[in-house]
Amino acid sequence: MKSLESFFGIGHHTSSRLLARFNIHPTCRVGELANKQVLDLTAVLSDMKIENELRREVVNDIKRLKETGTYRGRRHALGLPVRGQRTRNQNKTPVKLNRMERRL
Amino acid sequence: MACRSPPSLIQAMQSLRLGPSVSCLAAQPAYLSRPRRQARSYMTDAVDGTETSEAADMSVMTDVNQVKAAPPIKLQEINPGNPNVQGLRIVPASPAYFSGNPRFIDQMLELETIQARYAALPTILADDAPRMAWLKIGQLREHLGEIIPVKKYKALLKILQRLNRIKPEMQPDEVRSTIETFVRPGNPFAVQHVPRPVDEHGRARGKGKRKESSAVVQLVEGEGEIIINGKSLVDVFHRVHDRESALWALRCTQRIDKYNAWITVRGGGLTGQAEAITLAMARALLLHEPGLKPILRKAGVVTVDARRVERKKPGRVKARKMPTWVKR
Amino acid sequence: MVSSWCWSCLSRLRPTPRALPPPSAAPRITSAPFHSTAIQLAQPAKKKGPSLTTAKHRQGHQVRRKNKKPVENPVRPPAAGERKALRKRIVLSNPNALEVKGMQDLSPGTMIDGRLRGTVLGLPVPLLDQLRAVQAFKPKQGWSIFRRPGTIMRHDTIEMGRLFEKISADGEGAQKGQVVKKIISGAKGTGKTVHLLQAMTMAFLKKWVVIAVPDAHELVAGVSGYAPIEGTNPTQYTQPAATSALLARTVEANREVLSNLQVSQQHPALTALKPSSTLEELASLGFQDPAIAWPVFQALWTELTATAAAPGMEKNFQPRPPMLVTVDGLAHWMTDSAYRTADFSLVHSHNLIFVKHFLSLLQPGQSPLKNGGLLLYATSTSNNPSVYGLNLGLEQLAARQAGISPSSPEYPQPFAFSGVDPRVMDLFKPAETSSAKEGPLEVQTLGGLTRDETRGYMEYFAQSGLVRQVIDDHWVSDKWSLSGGGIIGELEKLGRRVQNVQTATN
Repeated sequence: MKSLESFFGIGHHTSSRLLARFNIHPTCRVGELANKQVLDLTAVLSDMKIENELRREVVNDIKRLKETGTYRGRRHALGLPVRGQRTRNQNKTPVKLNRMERRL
Repeated sequence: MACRSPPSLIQAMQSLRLGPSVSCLAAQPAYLSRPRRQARSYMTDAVDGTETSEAADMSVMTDVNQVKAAPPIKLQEINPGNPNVQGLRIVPASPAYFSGNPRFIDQMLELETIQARYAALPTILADDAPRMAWLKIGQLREHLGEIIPVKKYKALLKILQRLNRIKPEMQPDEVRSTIETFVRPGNPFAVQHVPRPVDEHGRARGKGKRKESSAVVQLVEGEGEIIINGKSLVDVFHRVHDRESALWALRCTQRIDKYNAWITVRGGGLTGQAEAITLAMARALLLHEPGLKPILRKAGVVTVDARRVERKKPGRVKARKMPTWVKR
Repeated sequence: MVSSWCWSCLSRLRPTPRALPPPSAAPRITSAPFHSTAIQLAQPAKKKGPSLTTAKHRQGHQVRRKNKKPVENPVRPPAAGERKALRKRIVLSNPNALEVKGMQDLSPGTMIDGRLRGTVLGLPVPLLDQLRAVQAFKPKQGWSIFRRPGTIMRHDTIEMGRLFEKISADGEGAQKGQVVKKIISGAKGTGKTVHLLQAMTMAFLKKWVVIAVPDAHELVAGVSGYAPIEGTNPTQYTQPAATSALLARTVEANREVLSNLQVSQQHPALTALKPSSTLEELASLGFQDPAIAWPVFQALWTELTATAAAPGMEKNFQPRPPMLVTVDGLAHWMTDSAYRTADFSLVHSHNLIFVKHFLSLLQPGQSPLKNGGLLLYATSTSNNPSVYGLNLGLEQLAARQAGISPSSPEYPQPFAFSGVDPRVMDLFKPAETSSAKEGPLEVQTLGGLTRDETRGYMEYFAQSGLVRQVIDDHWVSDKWSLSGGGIIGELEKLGRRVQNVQTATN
């Protein structure tokens, strides 16, 4: 379960459902998996949009927002909070993360 | 006894209107020897008296609340035999009449006289004197209708306590009756707590409190079964220490296998509940066996622990703790 | 006898030397005595060696400072699984405890002896490995404070011993080959698990087969693998790892019995099985390959419950011994498990086929153990998932035992809208037909020890050197009341506690 969550784009919600789908108990280790289960998981993961593909999509979305000149795109570019938060204090996270090439 | 000219006629008239306590001329019996009730003839009473007695005929003509001067005193009518009326003066009943709180001073004087009169009587220690619930200062003020300073009230109490210390069998009736007028109605300390005896089913009931908890113990003779709120001792108190303290009264008297207890306990935490049970158990046990009191007293289970959590105060973080001092 | 006063000078003579010198810190000499000063009053000798105050002229006075090294953690972190092993470790013997003189062992003779009630009997040493194999001992049962493991003979134990005697009677007794089903209930610390342990010991003594589920919770907590069985509705699940572990435990504990019995039925599902193999070999197939663990367990079960051999295999058939089946922690099996179905809903415990198998033994009319035996399923009333259906079922059982018929108004019924689980209620349905071979399901509630038993138990503590008080009636009844009416787990705590107090004061 932990190892599934190490993929970008898979959290607790998705991983627990994936495990249930292939009848793997939550405390199972990768070494204990049967071959078939590994193959099944690989097949499903290859269909999902995870890791670099997902990252690229997110960056593209931000770029699109900027190019269409929306407020949200501007906020992304300025490194400011996007969703109407106050900026009087405590906005370290957007300063750190929000930029054109969004850090993920 | 000084006879001074009245300051105003109206006051004098009001004083005179009371009828029985009208005192003309200086030649009158000593007021101190009169019955106390009658000696209380003062201005405030007088005003009230006139208003109530004349309320009936006044309501016909005018409003009751309207202040109306009393009719002038006709000295001739009061004392028709004396032709020399014009030379007489009106003298108030009490010499304290013109002081701030005349009734109180009269009481004090009376008490002082009594104290002086019986000063030679043997006394007992203050601790042995019967405990009396004296009138509190508010009650005394209300009773006398005067504003009495605390210091004077304390002086009064001092005399009362001295009188109370006179050996009870030698206490004169006068002293006793005087003292009793200063005791709160239904003297609370006179009510002796009568413990309920063991009932017909052999149950003794004891109550105890500690912190926020209160416990009721029903103790019957038996084999040492304990039920607390319908559960076993172990279910209620997981800590052995709590169990021990709950049963301490029975343990220290080696009665743990002689009684069964059925206990209800409410409120507070585990320690408070356990120690409330301790106290209640000791009280119930005392009903069965009063002779155990010295042992239980020594074991410290009879003494009530009256400590409670001190309340939090505004401006403070807790009961006493002050907020951290910050410069600026 | 010399007086301690010197009469010529009226001063004290030298006192006799004391064991401890007086504290030398306080100045003791207040005036010069006539006699030579006592040795004890002498000032302490000055410390030798360099001191900061006695630095000589022009001598370098250097403050030496140690270079502080970065603190390396000298304790290495525990290896994976080490702390768990320590937590689960079971110590059965304490060489510091005293040997109890004249302590008898549990044996076929002593386990039915009513005179031994209230005494502690040792568990037979040869059986300890078997008992460990079925995980009969749990940590925190206080085995490690005594010289050797022993259990107290309480009323229920002796009753159980007699039951064993009747079921496995050599002659054709009335109850031979009977099946007795019991649910052991009771509060925390009342000795339910130890009761199961005693049952297993007796079963091993009587050469029964013991199949034990030591922790029911493990099967439903979602910590071992599971797999659906195709074509079942509702979908049922096998638990290969748990099943193979059970097989391993069973073989380890019952090796002697199983190796003497041979396969007597046809098992088409198991191709690797030779017709002449013993049951031990059959079971070991299962824990060698967890994938076929469940079919192997089924095969083993049919072998053990067989009353006669299949046609053509009568050659080596021996009658099967009675069986003891124990489950500890029944309440965990009455709710949803932590496993998930493929559509992410929770699997009901009764859909796990392993659990279902053991639960179906409780149901009437199945005659599960054809060679007779005992079913003991323990459940706690204190520290357990609270399942309304189970509580109600136990109440109904108790009512039936008390002679209340299910049609009477006093018979406990579920509250309206309580949503009681019908699958749980089915387990506790009364038997429609009563058979001589199969007793009705009973509930046995364990409570506290009686005063006499308490006394015997505390005397065992005293003989082991844990309690040093004189054990009299008053002391015993004090402990009896403090332990909530002789609850044995609490008594054990009190016994330990006394020991701690003693060592603190000594």
